Amino acid sequence: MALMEYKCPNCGGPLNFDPGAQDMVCPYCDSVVDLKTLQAMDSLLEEEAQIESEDWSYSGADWQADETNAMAVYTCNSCGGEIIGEESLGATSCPFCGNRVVIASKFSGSLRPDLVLPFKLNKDEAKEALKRHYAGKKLLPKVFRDRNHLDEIKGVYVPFWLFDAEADVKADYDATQVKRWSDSHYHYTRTSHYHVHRAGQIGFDQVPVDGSQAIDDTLMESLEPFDLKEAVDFQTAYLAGYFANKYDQDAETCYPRADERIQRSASQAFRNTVKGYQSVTPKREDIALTDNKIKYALLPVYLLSTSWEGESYLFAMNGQTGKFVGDLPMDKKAYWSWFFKIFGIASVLLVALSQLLVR
Amino acid sequence: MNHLIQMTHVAIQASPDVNQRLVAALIALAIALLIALIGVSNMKSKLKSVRKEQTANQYIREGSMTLQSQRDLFLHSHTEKRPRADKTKQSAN
Repeated sequence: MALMEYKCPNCGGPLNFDPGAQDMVCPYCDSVVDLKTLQAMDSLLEEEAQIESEDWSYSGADWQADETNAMAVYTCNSCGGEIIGEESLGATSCPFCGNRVVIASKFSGSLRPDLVLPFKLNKDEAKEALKRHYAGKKLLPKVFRDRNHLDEIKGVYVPFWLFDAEADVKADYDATQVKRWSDSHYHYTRTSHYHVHRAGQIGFDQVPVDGSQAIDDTLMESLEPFDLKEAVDFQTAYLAGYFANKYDQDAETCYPRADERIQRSASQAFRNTVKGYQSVTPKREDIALTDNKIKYALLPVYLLSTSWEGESYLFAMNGQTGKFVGDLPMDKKAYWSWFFKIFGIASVLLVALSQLLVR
Repeated sequence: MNHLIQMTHVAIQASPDVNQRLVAALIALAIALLIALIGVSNMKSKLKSVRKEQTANQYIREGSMTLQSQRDLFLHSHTEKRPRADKTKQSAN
């Protein structure tokens, strides 16, 4: 069977990965199960890689062919309930019994992630972070803060591609130096023109690009950086208690975004070596990326969705560092009220000062 | 209205001091407007936190940058001169 569940050896309850303990913990009897012990269960993944996709089952003849291609149905081992999700779904909870399941086939064989960055913060900390996110925002509508309803909070392992590359840079610039001086009759300005050449290399490690179509790339980039020194070799046990998707955008699709960021950084780094000039204008820049390496990683993110006045708002928190992002609505009345308050006070002070100075 | 404009015009012409004060007050109001705009723009920007990362600076491998070639070649220069304003006034007098 494609579903994996982690049960407590003491009481049979569902084991979850606990960010505080960084181990598997039973929420019923508080037993702590060593992650390494569960590593043996991952040998199932290698067996699963040999299995054809005949363990798929589709729910009913009413679905259109293109809809079933994007969906999958699993049967919960605990209660027999049907779990329906997108084809890329990798870990979830059974909607009937709440049992945590990992769909092993999504992370087996060539789909197995290289790394996983375990959650370090829990849901309560995410809720507190949401409250802190509202604080100090003078233009946030008061009713949003008071009546904003937290619809859902999910801990999700988001699939990322991590790109390593060496950038070979060759760049030419036009640069000028300006010298000014005066004598008793004239002011002089001498402009000297230079041709500046720089060539070299610069290395980049683990530039992340989100490999899930469903999750907004800009939202994920806003959560950076992730400290990947804390990433560990993948084990399915880390996913228990969280949602996870396998990638549905391959490395080739995601590479251009990494390439764009790397090129811009390499260009800036070499431009910063041109010093001592009043102006520097790039004339030619050749940046080639070599020695490319790719890793597939699951990174921890809390997604919080809220609603207010019929509009949905999505917030995200880095499950490792706690960085919290999400755009908030603006109260236009508050905007103009603050504008006239500041203008009024500044006008009175500056006009008074100006009249004193003129005297 | 025309009478008011005439009176203002006479007042300004009669007293250069009033003219200066008015200009100073207008400049002060313009600066106050700028301060207010900057203030509310700053408050508004705090509502937006979802931004694309433009670069990968955080992922540069420490110590990996090597300059294999650097050349700064002088091409040419030109010099402009303009007469000093105080010398020009003295010549005119």
